[in-house]
Amino acid sequence: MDCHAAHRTLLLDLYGEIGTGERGALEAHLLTCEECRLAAAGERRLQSILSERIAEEPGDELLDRCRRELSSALDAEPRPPRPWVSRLAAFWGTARLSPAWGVALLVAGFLVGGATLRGGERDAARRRAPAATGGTVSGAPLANLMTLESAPDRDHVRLSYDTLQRGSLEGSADDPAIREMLVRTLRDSLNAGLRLEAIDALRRHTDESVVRRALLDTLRGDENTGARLKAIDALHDRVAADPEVRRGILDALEGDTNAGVRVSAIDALSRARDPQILPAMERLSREAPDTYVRMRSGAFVDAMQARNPR
Amino acid sequence: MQPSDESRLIGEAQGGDRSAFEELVRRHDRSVLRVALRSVRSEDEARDIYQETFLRLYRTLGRFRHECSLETWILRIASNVCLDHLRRRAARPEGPAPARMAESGVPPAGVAEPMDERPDQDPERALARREMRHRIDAALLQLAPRERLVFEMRHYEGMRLRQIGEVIGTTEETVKNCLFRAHQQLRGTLGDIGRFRGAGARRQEA
Repeated sequence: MDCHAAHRTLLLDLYGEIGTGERGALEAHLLTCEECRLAAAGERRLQSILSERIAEEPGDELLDRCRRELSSALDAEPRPPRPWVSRLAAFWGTARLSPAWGVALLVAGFLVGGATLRGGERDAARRRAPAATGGTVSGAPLANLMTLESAPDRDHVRLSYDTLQRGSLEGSADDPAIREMLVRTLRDSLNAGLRLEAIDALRRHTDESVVRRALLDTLRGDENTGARLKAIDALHDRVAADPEVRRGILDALEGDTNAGVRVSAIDALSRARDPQILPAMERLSREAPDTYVRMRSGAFVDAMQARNPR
Repeated sequence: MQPSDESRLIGEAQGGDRSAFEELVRRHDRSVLRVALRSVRSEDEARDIYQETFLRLYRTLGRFRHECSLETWILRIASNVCLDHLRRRAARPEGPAPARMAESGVPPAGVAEPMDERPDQDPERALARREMRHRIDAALLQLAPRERLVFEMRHYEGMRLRQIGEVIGTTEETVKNCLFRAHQQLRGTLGDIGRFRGAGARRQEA
């Protein structure tokens, strides 16, 4: 081993990146080379100096801010194309695992089998066909059975289902039919992207109690952080006027697991001057895990006490 | 974290589940932000790097085929974004901004002055340590972007050379060369501290 190779090897040795063979060769070289022994001592000193710079961690507030900004940026992103493998896996995963799919396939099989076997009885079967509300099956393939309610004592069932027949609605969310569809999407869709779009479409209609309740339910129960953040944002203008909205946002402030949601909640609540939330704010000013939330709730308490001194 | 759990999340995120994607972000974003802050020493730029990294991940996750760990894949994106920022900054006519920060001795916003947990009641020694940290920062800022990234990943993140090679898309041998060059330059910049410390230590021993 020459001196150049020894210098490289002793550095890698300090990082534990050489094998026993290389270490043996290095030690043999150092026994015979004063210059390299001095270099090794210098390298160890440099390691010690560099260790004076302690690894810093990003602060929680900065991390929360980055997450909020990312969430907003993702809202503006078009959905990336799903790879076909993923689409196939998702389909099979749903088809194999979902009880609803199982029931739907059973019902579909029953319908198809019955129709095939009975052949000439089709007319009679058609006469016995159940009344369909909100549309008709009209030969469209059954995609998913959504709910099934039965009353055995009356021999009566109600099924709601999806078909693969595509429909479309267009217009303003002022239209009650469109608004109802948006609220249903917000409450029921398994697709987080659609739920986020629905919040955007509904944010100008928070004067409707059904919209506010749907947004509050999203805030309390949606597993998607972006949806919860958007729900707070959509309800922002209602905070001052509506105690139910304040209650919902306070629940999020006290119970949401995401720091970004808690920060948005305190920002929204700080706009209100509601003495009823003062006790909760006092508690948060002492106990909230986030510095920012403690600071803002403390400022809220100070402002309220200045306004109504005890 | 269970690998199978992460694989499930990756599959769900690839299928369009945004909450799964956000869970993956939460699992890996602290190390991305740490690398970004150490590389650019500026909170604003680190936030840009954070966002750009995860937006690129969002757009390309469908192409992830488990040929490396997701952590490596994310750090690969982050290191490319960091290098782009450092190169753009070096090309700006006003020169590298962080050098000014390092000379001023003020840490970037968003990064608390590192807490030194060692018991040290002597204010002079504490001041000397702080000054030394600032000198180290200034020395690191003089390294070429790629060498600095390699050095930070190996020395402060504790990543193995092989993984660094996977992250920056090069061979382990090239990473060794980068690390060696970084050390040579740091030895040149900080060598006088070493000699002083050595002499001081010898005086104390005597």
